[in-house]
Amino acid sequence: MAHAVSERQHQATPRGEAHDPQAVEIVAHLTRAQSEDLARRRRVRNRALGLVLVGLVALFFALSVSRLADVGDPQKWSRPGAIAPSR
Amino acid sequence: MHGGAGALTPDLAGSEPRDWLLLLKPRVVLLVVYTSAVGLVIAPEPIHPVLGAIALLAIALGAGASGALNMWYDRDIDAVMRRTAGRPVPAGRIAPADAAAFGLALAVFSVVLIGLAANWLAAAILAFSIFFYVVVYTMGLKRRTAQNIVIGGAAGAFPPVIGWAAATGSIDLAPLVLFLIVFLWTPPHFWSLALFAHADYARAGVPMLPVVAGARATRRQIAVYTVLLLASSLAPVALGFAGLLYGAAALVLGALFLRHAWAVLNDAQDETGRSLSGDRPARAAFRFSITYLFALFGALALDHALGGMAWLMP
Repeated sequence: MAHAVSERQHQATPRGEAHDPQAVEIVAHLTRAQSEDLARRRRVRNRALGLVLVGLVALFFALSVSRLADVGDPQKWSRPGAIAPSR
Repeated sequence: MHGGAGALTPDLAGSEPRDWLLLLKPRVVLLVVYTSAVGLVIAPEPIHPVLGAIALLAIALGAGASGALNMWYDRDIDAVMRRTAGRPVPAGRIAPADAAAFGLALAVFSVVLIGLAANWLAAAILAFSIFFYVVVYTMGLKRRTAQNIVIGGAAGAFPPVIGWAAATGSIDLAPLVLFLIVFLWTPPHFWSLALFAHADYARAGVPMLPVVAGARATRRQIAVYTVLLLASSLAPVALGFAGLLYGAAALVLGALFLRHAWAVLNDAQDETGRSLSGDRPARAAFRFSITYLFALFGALALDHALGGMAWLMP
């Protein structure tokens, strides 16, 4: 299915803003169904990205807590100049 | 390109999360995680369960990154092979540059993650396995030699070693034996697939053994490697890090695999070696090879959990 996607130079620059001769405006002429499909895909992608970001926070929190729990008995290594053992 | 009434041009349609998941070759990742989990479980030193789980996640992401980079590089041959034409990159749902960037980012992330969660030896082996799969196998061997999957099979054999190294911080004989088992399993697995998909490989110009040496030679090679696999699968018992339960399972599974290899070798064929049965034995051998690896490694983990059934001994 063919879709008209036009690129045209800005005709007018709002007062007070610097004129950018390179600026283009992309206008996609989509049907209602196509617009809705595009919006649905964006929504799904945004939700997935949100889940990934929340997952990363949880991952690094779990990693930090587990590493702290995995350093053994501090009595054995917490003397001046010593550091927590690592595998 | 997407079909249907609401179809959009690729640039406007973009991808869905499912496409990015497919880019990671989830079925391969499952096998990789499974074998690495067994390597981690049978290691003599315990690992904190959360850190172990994160290490497995990192291995999964590393394997997924390899898959994404493989799909990026192989997009031209994937497009002409029926089996792979629907993948996200050749189908136009993900731009090649995006697939490459995603794969690279995920590879770096997975290596750093396992380094932080476990140790830097495991991270180094994971990094090397990604390099081996992407650069040595995908870019170097796959389009040049019929031994591509024999040498390249090493990439898929690293996961149990990484699992072991994540738990212990070292490499021992036991994980190397597991490496050998997966290494010898790879040729009969992939050549069974190549026997019934050889037209696809021929069209794409990939010099798989059935394309270069013919089906008859491939069937012989499958039999040889299956015998070697059976012998190597008994090594854990001989070397003393697996017991009777595993030994019995290895013998039974090996015998079943040999039966499949025998059926492939004696498949009805014309004078050129082409199967007259639609490669039915090769299809069965391919399916069984996956079950074989899952069952063999499962038996090893179970054997380890039960102490090799030493309690049955007088």
